[in-house]
Amino acid sequence: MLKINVQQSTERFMAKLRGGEYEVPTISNDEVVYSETKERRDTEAVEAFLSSELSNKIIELK
Amino acid sequence: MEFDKKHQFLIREFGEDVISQRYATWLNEIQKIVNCLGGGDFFYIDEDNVALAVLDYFTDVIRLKPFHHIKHINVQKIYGYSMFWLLKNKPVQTVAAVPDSLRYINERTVLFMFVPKMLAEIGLHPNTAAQSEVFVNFLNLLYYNLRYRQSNSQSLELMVDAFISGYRLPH
Repeated sequence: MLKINVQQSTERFMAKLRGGEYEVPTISNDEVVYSETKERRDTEAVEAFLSSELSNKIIELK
Repeated sequence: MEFDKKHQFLIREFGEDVISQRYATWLNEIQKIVNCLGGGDFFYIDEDNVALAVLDYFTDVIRLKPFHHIKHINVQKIYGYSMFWLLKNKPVQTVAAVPDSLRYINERTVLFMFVPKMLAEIGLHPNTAAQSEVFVNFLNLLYYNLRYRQSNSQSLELMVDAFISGYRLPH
C-alpha cells in the first residue's frame, strides 16, 4: 500500500476546506408553514377518514 | 451560528487546528491499522473519504451542541459519532480480492480505532481485557453489529456509554 504522508495530506485537505471545495450536502425542501396551510386540511382529512370504510378495516385488524 | 454551503462554519466553530488534527489522527491511525493487519497489498486509503468523515463528524457535532446547550461533547458522543461517520464514508477501499480474514475492513478498522480508546477511558490494558471471556464476547457482538445490524451515531454512543458504565458499576 502506498504510504501517505500524513502532514502533506492534511495540508491538502485543509487547503481544499479553506478554499470552499467541500460542498455541504443538502436536500431540497419545499418549505411550508404547516399551521397556516395544511393543519386544518389534515384535521378534516382525519375526520373524513373516521367515517370511511377504510377506517372500519383498521378497526377490524387483528 | 451562520451555516454556509462550503463548511466554512466548521472552521469558525472549531478552528483549523482541531479539524486538521482530527484528520491527521484518523489518517495516521487507519494507515497503521491497515498495515498492521497485513492489508497493504489489498487496500488503499481514500483520503477524500477520510476528509468527508471528518467534515460529517464535525457537522453532526455542531448541530448537537446548541440543542443540548453543551460547549464540549463527552467521549461517548465523540467515539459514537466518529465510528458512525467513518463507517458511512468507508475510508479503506479494496484494490484486489481480499482473503476472508480481511473482509469488512472498514468495520474491522473502526474496531481497531475505537476499542483501544474505550479501554483507555476505563483504564484497562488490552492484555487484561483479552483475558476476559465477557469482553471477548462483547467484541464479537460489536463486530457482528457493525457488519450486519443497523447502527447510528446515537446507538453507538449508547454502546460506548453502556460499556463504560458497566465497568464502573460498583461490584
